[in-house]
Amino acid sequence: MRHLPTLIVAATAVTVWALGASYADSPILPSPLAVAHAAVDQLRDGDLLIDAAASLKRVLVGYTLAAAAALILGALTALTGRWGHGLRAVLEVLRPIPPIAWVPLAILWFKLGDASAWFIVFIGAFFPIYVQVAWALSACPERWLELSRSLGASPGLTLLRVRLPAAAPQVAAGLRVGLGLAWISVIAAELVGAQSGLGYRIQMHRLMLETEGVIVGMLAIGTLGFAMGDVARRLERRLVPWAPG
Amino acid sequence: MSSPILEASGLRFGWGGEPVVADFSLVVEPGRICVLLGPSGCGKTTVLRLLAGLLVPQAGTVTARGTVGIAFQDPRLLPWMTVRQNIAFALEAAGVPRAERAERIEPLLARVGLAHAGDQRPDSLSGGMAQRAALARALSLSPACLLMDEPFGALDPMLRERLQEDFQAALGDAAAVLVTHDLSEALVLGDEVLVLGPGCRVAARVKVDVPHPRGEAWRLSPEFLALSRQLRAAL
Repeated sequence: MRHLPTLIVAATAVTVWALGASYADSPILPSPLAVAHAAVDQLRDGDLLIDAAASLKRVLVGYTLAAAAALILGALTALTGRWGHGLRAVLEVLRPIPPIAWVPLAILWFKLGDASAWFIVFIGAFFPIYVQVAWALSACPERWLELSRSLGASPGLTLLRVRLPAAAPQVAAGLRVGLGLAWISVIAAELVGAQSGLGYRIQMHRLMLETEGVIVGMLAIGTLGFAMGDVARRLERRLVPWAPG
Repeated sequence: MSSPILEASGLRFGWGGEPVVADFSLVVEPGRICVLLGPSGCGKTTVLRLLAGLLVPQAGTVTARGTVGIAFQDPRLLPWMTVRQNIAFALEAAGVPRAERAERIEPLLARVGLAHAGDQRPDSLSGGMAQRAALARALSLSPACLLMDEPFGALDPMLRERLQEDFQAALGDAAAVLVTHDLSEALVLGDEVLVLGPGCRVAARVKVDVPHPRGEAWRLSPEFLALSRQLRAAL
């Protein structure tokens, strides 16, 4: 019964879609049933799963690199005073540039293929994680730092036992948001600069005017993105149980 | 008279304008509890931070003989650690070897009535349990003098009275400086009560020569009432 409202909303959306498709009677708006048939076909021949795996692999590589770089640079920004301010100033200029704007440069630098997609994923995931790490480490609540001082803890012990755990909820949130943006970025990269993956698949179906295939690709992106977000949220609750809310 | 555990002389501190602490002096003898009693905003907490070394006085000196521990107004338990780990952190900060930490934590937990709650996280503790855990952490380094900033202020009256009695037992031989605006608490816990006025100037000094632990009988005694009147008049 807990999921009843969700089921009702989903059924309503599918019904509206079916009615719209029936009314339009056009290949650019296929019915839910036609899309379901296309999905079954694509799952059966295995191409959908192969492309999904290619996209996931790119996300994994680009996201891991982005997370590692953001954790290191975020910590440096928060903990190195003036050098940190300088680093932040440079990165803040790059931050507003959307990942898609990097695609031409990525193709020039890395050619079409995995490396350019990794780069775009890296750009997409890096900034939200970096900002959260830098902010969380530099904004440790004074009450915890005062406690640490009152106990005579060294700066190293304070970092290990107070600053890092205090920052962990924000860092975890940054990692989760970064994962979502990594997923969005890989699709953007594959739409224009790859020869496999869900983004590439959508583009191919569009060129062949197979709207069912486009929608199947989009639904696969949505489903996988939702699943990744859900896993990230569960991990966050388990690893950082002291996070507020 | 034995030499003092903690001595403050001519302390002055402010953030510009009128000083929060204009001229404050204090002598705490071993095993004695000194209570700083005053209205909210008179600078009691600032004095305590000066005594703890968390603020640097603009004038005056603080001299401590032995370790000085502090328990804040809120329990300030680190939420990512269990009660046991919170106490272990204090010991680790003081350089106590890992093997020795466990030996020292268990008796402390028993001393504050938390032997069963060592593995609980702060968010699962009641207000009273959290204050006991904070007290255990503050006592873990066997301080010669414990500074406490209204530690029972946020608790309901019944629990506060119980914790006051437990506190007297848990403190052992340590001296303490306790900040409060609760007149009854001052007379139950204090061996000496300093009534503070604006700028933390000492308006009155009252000795309470009654042995600890002091409980219900002391609260209902005529002497308690007489001292209460004396303190109220000074406030």
